[in-house]
Amino acid sequence: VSTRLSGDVALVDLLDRLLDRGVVLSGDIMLSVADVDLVHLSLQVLLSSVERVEQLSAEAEAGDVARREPLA
Amino acid sequence: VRPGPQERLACYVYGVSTADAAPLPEGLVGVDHKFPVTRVTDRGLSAIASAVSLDDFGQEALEARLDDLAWVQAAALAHDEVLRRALPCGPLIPFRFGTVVHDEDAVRALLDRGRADFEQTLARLAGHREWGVKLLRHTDVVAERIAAHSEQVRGLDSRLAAMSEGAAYFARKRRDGVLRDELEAFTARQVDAWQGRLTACARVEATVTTKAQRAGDAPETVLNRAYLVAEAGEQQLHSVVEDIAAEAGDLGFELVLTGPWPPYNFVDRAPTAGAAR
Repeated sequence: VSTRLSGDVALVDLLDRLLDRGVVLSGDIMLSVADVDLVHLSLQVLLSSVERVEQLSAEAEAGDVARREPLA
Repeated sequence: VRPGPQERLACYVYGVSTADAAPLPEGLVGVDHKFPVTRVTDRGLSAIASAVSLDDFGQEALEARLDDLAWVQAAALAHDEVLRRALPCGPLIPFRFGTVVHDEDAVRALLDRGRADFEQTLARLAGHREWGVKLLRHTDVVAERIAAHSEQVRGLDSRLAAMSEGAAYFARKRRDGVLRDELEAFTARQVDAWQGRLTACARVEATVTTKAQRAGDAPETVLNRAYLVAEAGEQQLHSVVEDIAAEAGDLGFELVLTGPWPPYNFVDRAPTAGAAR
């Protein structure tokens, strides 16, 4: 069992929390709020991560299709 | 640091803790690396804050910056780093990414408005930490195991072997459907049982929603939960996690424990008194 994994898994776990959870304040006191679709943003950040892209393309080459065939 | 508008600075707020929390680690820098992280204290509460340049964190600038994914990733990591380093200092309420107010007076006003909620939440969180448990399914491995053990699938497989190609096409579809159903039922049973044992270690649990999960991701996430665990119960959680990880590994699943996290999943997203309308 690992804790605080580095790399891709950690980034997903972090974004799930930081961009989707935690206290959100609003009102006249706020100067700026990251008031956008942060969930959508987290997906984009994730997809843009270089590691991710490399991993996905490696999977595609290594026969992702073949691996899923028993359930296709 | 007392930022003023003429310096084009503002105050980024990471979260709230009690005023008597232990001092923050030395040399902790904020999302804007030029500025140190400090506490802004007001009658029993303290905000964890740092100065930020309005060039990056003014409302318009921030919105523009959100398109720069490398910037977002670095800033998000910096935000989490601050909270993670502050975590051993005492209970804290994590704020979501991107909370910026004018100056330290505004931080104190923010504390004052949310006082009742913040105090209640900090008292509830004291002595607890958030842990994440993720269960990943190596679907091909689990399916292979089921195919080898399931009487129904094995029966269909043996009949398949004797069939003509045309007949085998539909029989194979049926066999794959049976296997898929058994796979999902098996997964649900296992996840239920494991989850029950994890829940028993926690004071509260929450579902973590992974929006970024896409169909076909391998391995698949079949459980993603956050647990608020009393510090006295952490050893129990860890030993349960180890046991489950061993069982799960044998069956083609993988258990990942993350944490301790700031209690992102155990604070109200919008405290009632936290803001003026």
